[in-house]
Amino acid sequence: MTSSKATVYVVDDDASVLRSLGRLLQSAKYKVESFASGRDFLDYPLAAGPACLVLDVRMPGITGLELQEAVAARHRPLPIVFITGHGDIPMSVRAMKAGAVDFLTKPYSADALLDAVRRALTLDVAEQSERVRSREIEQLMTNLTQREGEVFALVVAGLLNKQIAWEMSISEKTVKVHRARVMEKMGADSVADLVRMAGVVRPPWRRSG
Amino acid sequence: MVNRTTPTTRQGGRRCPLPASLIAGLAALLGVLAPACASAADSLPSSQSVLLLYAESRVLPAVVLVDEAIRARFDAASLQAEFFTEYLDLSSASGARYAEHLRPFFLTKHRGRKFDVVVSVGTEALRFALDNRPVLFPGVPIVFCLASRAAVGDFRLPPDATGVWIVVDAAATLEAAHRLEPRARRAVVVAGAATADRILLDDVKRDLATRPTGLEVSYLAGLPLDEVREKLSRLPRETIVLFVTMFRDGAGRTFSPSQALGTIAPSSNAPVYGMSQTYLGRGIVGGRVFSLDAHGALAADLAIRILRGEPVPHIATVENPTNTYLFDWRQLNRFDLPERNVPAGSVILNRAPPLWEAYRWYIVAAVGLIGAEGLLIGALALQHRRRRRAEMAVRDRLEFETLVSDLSATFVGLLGGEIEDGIEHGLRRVGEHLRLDSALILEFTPDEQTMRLTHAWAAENVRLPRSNLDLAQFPWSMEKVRCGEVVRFSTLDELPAAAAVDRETFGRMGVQSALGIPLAGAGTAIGALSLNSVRREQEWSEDLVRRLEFVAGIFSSALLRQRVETEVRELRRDLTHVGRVATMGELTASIAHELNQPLTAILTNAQVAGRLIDSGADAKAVRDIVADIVADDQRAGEVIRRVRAFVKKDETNQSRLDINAVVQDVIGLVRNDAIIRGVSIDLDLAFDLPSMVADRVQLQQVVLNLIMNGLDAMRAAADRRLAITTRVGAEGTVRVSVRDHGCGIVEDDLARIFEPFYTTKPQGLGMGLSIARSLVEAHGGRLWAESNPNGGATFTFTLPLLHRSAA
Repeated sequence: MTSSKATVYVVDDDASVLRSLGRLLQSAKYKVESFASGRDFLDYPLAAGPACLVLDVRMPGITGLELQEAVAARHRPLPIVFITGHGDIPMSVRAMKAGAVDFLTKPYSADALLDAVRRALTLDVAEQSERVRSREIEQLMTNLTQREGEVFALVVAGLLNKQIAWEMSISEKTVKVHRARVMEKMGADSVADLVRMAGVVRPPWRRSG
Repeated sequence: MVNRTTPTTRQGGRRCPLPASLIAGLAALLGVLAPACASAADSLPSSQSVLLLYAESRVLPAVVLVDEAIRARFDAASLQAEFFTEYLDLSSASGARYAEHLRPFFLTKHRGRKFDVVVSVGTEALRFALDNRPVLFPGVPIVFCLASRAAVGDFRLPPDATGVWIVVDAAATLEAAHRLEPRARRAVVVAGAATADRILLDDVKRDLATRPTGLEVSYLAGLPLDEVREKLSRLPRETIVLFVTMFRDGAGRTFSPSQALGTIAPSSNAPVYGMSQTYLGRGIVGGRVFSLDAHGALAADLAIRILRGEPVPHIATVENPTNTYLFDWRQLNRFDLPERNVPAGSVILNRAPPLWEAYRWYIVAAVGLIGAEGLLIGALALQHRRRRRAEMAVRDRLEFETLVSDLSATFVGLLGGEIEDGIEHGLRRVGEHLRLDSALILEFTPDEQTMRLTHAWAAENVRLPRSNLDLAQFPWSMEKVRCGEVVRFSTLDELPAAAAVDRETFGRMGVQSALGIPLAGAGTAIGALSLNSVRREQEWSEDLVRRLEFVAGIFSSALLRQRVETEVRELRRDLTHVGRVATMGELTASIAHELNQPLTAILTNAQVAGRLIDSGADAKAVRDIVADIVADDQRAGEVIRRVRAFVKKDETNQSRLDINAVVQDVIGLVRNDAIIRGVSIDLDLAFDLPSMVADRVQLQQVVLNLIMNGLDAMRAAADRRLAITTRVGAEGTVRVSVRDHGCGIVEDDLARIFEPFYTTKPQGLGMGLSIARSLVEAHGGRLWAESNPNGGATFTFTLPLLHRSAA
């Protein structure tokens, strides 16, 4: 990952803190977008490429934690580095649970902030590639028939062919045929491959019926 | 405010505040013959306690007259009585709950004291006595005077209360005026806006209703003084003006009635009449006047009968029968009213020239008719001389009473800061009136070794003494003053042998005659009024000394008031300071954040600058960063300055300011606190607010306390919004409201939340709102709370744009 392509969004209502953060991140060769309020940021379209958010938790209007939820809904989940002048423990616990990469207390050192941003971007790259992979798998899964989808679900659940046949009230032979078609359509080499794929996507096929 | 005195009976002993051992030592030192006050006090027979309860201020001329009359009767009856005096000062109180607060004050002050009789002076004093007797002095008989029968209501009088009802002869006064001015068709009755004014006005209306005068009567009641003057100046000359009383005018200014009359009468185009003794010489033509002396004397007689053991239910109330027609010769002349038309039995004062003008026709007639009968003329002349001497005495006394009433009227209206000048002015008036060489106020220093000259007047070419007097130079005089006794001598020879040191000192100073009157403080003398004559001998008659004691009383009450005001001001300053420090304590998190922001920016900027320098970046980028660092540093400094200014213990500091700026300053302090608590603050500030003169820090404290109160109220609320509004209010005021959506105020608490140490919060001190209210009131404004119809509470205060601060 090259940092020049990565964008860091910074939201802080304090103009001079915002400016100093912008300077710091630019000196580390990131592309920086600064916002004085959470609403401004929400209205702004995200650039392509890896990104993360540096966010002051306590601002008038909308709180940092509310913003975190809104960002995920509006754009895409972004790794967030929280900064706060007044971090109490319940607040930081809540933030970390909600997926904060780090929780820095003002005044923070430049190195600590840059380190947190770096980790956030790495995480975003990883999550983004995972999301790409997930979309590919979901795409492949649309090719499966209803029956094949059910067999897929039972295979990754660890059932033997014989059990699947009994479960679905079909012959073991028919199960084998479906299974071969599933492996082929999904481009999987082994059952282990299939299981990994199932782990990446959300399970829309879990509607057992 | 009030002092405790023993009557100045000549045969009675006096209490002395000094320890007996010290007195004994001094007595030994001064010789056996020196009058030692302690030994007299030891043999004092147990005396009876009389509470004198005046509705009005101590310095009102009427109060002075009544007080003098009461004490004179007690003296004459040789009754050993100890007087306690309370001046309720009801007409000049502006706080609505003043009367409520009197009761606890009274209870604290007189705890455990047993009165034998209560003498109330004025309708409201009687009401106060009746309302509070069960708590304040249960079972003690009440004697009243100057009370309105209609206002009190006979039925309210318990059997053991008796006294003298005031008789208002308004109809008789208007009839007399009508005889003087037969062309008159209209009468205008002038009265003030205070309760005492309304009570007497009601009596006037009742009297006029029962005895129609044939005049068309209209009323100018409860109007601002200036408006009254303006209206009177445009009256036709043939109108009759009747001045009732004016303790307060419609604009809320307080006066002594004779002071108000003194401003009103000169501007009236029509003659003014009145019914109070104290109005004579202040601009009224005359009227059927009730005698204040008589009220005091009659009440004193009733009280004396009770003290002598007569059962109260046997003593009937009386209607003061002593009302007389009194006219002012100068005013009759001013309006060209024929003296022959005054009712029979009238007394005419201020006649000048006294003899010839009045008796010219008698003399001419006598000469014409009898011619040579010189014997008769001689007899007439003798009678004239006697009358003239009597009239001179009356005039002299009246002049002095005018002076005293002027003085007392001046002090009623003075604000704390003006007392100094008022006293100096008073000294000059007294000194000039008596043609003295110096009039001084001396106050004991705390170590009681010296007396400090605090106020002085001296005739031209008379040198004043040094500012501090060494008491060792006046041992005898000072001991007497300390014991509450008057020191007087017309010549140095009158000083006793024990006063040898004093005599030498006075002689060295060139003083021929001197009078020293102790200034009574709370139970002890605080100093002396010292009147001196250098160039001639001055007689100090009993009567003169007595009157000067009243003047000294006026001075000492002014000095005490000034001391109390200083103490109150210091206490209030300390208290508000404690309040500010406490509030700052609650705001530490917010202030820490305010400091943390610039510190964060500074650290980051400095580290970036380091990196840029390492990487050889251009100087321009680094210079921008350094400029930001400087700006952030100043910003942090500003936070500290604001906090320091707020918690600084300081004298009040009036300046011209914009109330919106005050609100915004405070928002700067609480902003972060509000955010932590999840409260949003809506500001709705009027853009057209005029600037005002006020104390910035005090107003910040008021706004801050109200905001913190609102934030606390919304601790558990769902809708956490605080709205602050500023507006132009009615009649040159500015109005500020703080509205919350919190838990609201229970009906029962609405009245109590402004009391000190009353709190509904688990962690509150209960001082915030009480301090806020006292600060607003110190600015002449008002602060109150209301419950919002849709939940929460609104606190509003108004401030006048123009205010003469009492602080």
